[in-house]
Amino acid sequence: MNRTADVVVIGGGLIGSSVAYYLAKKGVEVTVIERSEGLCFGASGANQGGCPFQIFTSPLLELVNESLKLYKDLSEEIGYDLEYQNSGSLICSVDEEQYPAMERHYQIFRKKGLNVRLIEGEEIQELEPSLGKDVVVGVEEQYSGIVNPFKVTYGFARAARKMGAEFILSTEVKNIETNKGKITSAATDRGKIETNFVVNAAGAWSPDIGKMLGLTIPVRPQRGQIIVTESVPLNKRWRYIFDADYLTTAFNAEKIAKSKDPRIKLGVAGSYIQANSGNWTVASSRDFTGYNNKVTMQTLSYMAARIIKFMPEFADVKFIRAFAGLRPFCYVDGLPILSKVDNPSGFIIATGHAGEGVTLAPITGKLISELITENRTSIPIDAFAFSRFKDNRDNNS
Amino acid sequence: MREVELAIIGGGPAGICAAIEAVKCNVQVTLIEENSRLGGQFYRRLADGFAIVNQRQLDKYYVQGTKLIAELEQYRRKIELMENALVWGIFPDKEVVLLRDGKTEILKAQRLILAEGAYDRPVPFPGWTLPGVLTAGAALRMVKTEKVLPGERILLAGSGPLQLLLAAHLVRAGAKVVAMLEASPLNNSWKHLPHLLGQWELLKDGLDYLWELRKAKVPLLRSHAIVEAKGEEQVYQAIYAKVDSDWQIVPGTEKNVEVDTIITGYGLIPSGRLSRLCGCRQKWDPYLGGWIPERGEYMETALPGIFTAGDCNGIEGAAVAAEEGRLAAIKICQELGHITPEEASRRCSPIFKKLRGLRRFESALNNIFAIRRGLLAQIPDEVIICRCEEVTAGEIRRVIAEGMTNINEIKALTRTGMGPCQGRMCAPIIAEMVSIKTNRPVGEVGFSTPRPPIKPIPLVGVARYKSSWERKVE
Amino acid sequence: MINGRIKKGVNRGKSFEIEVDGDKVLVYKGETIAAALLAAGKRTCRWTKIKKQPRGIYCGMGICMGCAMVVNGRPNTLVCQTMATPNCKVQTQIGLENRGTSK
Repeated sequence: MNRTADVVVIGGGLIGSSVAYYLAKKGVEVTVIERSEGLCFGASGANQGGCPFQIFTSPLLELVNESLKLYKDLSEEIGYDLEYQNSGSLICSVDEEQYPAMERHYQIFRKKGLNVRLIEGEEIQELEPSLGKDVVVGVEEQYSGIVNPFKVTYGFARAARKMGAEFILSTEVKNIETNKGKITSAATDRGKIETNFVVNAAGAWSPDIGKMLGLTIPVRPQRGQIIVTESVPLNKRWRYIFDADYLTTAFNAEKIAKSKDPRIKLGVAGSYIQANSGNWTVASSRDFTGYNNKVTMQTLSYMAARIIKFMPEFADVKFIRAFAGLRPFCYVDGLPILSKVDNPSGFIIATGHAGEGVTLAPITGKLISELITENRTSIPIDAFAFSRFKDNRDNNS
Repeated sequence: MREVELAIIGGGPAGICAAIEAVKCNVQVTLIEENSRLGGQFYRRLADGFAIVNQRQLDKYYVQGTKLIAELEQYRRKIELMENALVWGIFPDKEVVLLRDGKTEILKAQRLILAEGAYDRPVPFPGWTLPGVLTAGAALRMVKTEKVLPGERILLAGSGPLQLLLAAHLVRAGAKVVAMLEASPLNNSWKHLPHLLGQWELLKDGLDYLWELRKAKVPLLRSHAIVEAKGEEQVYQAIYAKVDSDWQIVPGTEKNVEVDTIITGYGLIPSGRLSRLCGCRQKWDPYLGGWIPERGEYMETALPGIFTAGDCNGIEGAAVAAEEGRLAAIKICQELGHITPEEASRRCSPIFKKLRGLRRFESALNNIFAIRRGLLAQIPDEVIICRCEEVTAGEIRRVIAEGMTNINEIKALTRTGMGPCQGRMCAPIIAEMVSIKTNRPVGEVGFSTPRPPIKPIPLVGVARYKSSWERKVE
Repeated sequence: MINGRIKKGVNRGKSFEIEVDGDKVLVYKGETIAAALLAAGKRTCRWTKIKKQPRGIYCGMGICMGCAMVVNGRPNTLVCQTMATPNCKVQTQIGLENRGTSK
């Protein structure tokens, strides 16, 4: 392996490979270190490939918007088909009482001048026969996307390699060495790499990297389970469908804590994406069980019951696998951490993407590359600064 | 969810014998079988409502199966027999998840015996997906239990005793078997003669079949293998050729023959989905069919309370499966306190002895007929490897060439293994392809991450479980 | 091949008819649909979606998905695992999509 690099990126997932690409594009010598045998072994390989738009509010909304713009031409730019589609999405409700909330949701986006539509009653079933009568109201938009996360990671990696980046697999960073407040090297179990810059893109395991420098990175693994169905004929209009409850389970921890509904307590709210092959990925769930990435009967049963409520024909649709991923969730405010740190200099954090790693991979890579090479970013990222956490140093540092 | 003392998954010879042994000790047994009747593959019952006119014409192994199932029937009232019950997952700790009557049930078992059995090795060659190309297991089932011929003019291509048995049945049923291709040279069999002679009954059966084929003038071609199946909508011609000791095709020896059916019998692969799902450590043994769970002499795995028995432990035939089932059951009876360790030892002792002889015989066969590399090394690029997702060998090779050598990576980038067969057909082939390309032993290539469900399950089957869990929570 | 059933030495139960792609096919009680199809010389169970290739019985035990057909309106029914019932309707399937019972 190379003994020196301008930048060492820890983590070979969506974020790590994106950062490597955008850095390599700027002529930076990058080495990515991944401890598994291949790329995408973390949450990057256990998600739906969804790049949603309408579920967000500021400051994430702006970041997502920029990332989706990058996705539009990304396949062509890196010369690798990412299978990106501008699918749009529908968020909808099976509960009459959510009507006002859906209406408010619609108004928020309409006031921003965005192309959204409120659809209600029978028109929903007319436009999409697979949605059952229980679906009473929905909001559709044209901005969301669907992509193949493996292709994104491998595409970025391939393009980065072509520009001189190195990806080292089956290797684990054990320590980050510093001298006088500056990074000097990354020590792995297979040797040292001299460098002054280290990017922490280790996802759910990023706190371990932070500990090496006495930093407390407030990220914890948030398990998400996914069911994959057999192939079904393509939906007529909407292949990216959200359950209105998703806005609660993904962004409102307080409401989850107060809820008496066992389904909400497991964080189960529909997020349904149909791939070109016809297979649906049926998600989502959210719970905190450490680094346990196994599926559970309870969650699977709630997820199955929920999609049947939205699309009754799915009762007879078979599922062919189920798996779980560990989202890197920032437990302070649920927002990503895209930032330098005060001490040591040269340490950059790019994690905490929770369920939006796929969506935010391109913009993250671009912003981190700007942060490192120009010390400024093309869009403000103050909301994602590490300094927003008051207690970020270990007591014994 | 309800508790059971011993859950046995699989109603073939291993499962049935384990159930009999356990119920004799008054263990509460739940025997779970996916199909509508017991017997597994080897002891599969004749179609319901069919009868063989002359009982003496019944296959000897069929009679064995009948006797075994009859023995189990004696304990019918003491055993919980669940038929048409599909186990699709096992959660910690020994929570068996099964689908029956469209609903999921969960059984929490104190002890578990996995007797998942085995399936025919898929062997790809140009035209292998054509109707008319089928496995020896499928053909045997058609001929033995459904009493229907798979075709009129048949070519058998494979290695080992299974296709010998099949050939004899086909001949008896009046089919035209144009030839039986045996990929092995068989010239090293004499080395194994002592072990073969040790199971004279089994050996004699084999010799009897050979004699039957000789009488019917069925050519047996050693060191020959299938090269291609030609056809548009179905097979009309087979191309075969001589192979060397590594089963590589010897160029220039190709011959063709008009057939409408090609049956491939290149051994069996142990079905290990459940044991992998549980987390039982696996080891790679090419002589026993591939990945098998590590287990002790009583068929216990390293996971407390989980045992495995039968062909899923390695392809050694029905007789070995039966004895392994018995061993596991006796050990479990002792562990659960139904018999003393001395009694358990007394009962197991003759079983160990019997197994030694049987295993020597099976090992001799597995050596003589061991699958050689050449079978999978020369697959042309345009041959479909993943039958579900229609992915070719060439597409897979391209991804391997780009540096992807982990099975999960290849799966993610090519979609192989993402179809409803869940990689059963393609994964063993892809592992060999990676091994050949990277010069690593297949054992190091690994297998894809095991996940539930191990067979496709309707969503409503999972959804309906919800109500019983909610009741538990309240 | 007109009839692949083994006649010699076998007594079968009652016979009835099923419909295969509109044609009537003779079946005996206890047979799987696969056996009946083989006996009638029908070998193509489905055509693949992308490459339009024919598939038929391969593994005979319900794991290769080769024999997936539409039975009584239900697609992806593995005929080697499904008993024939009087007047059941069997159709050649295109692709492996679950097109539901309504289509």
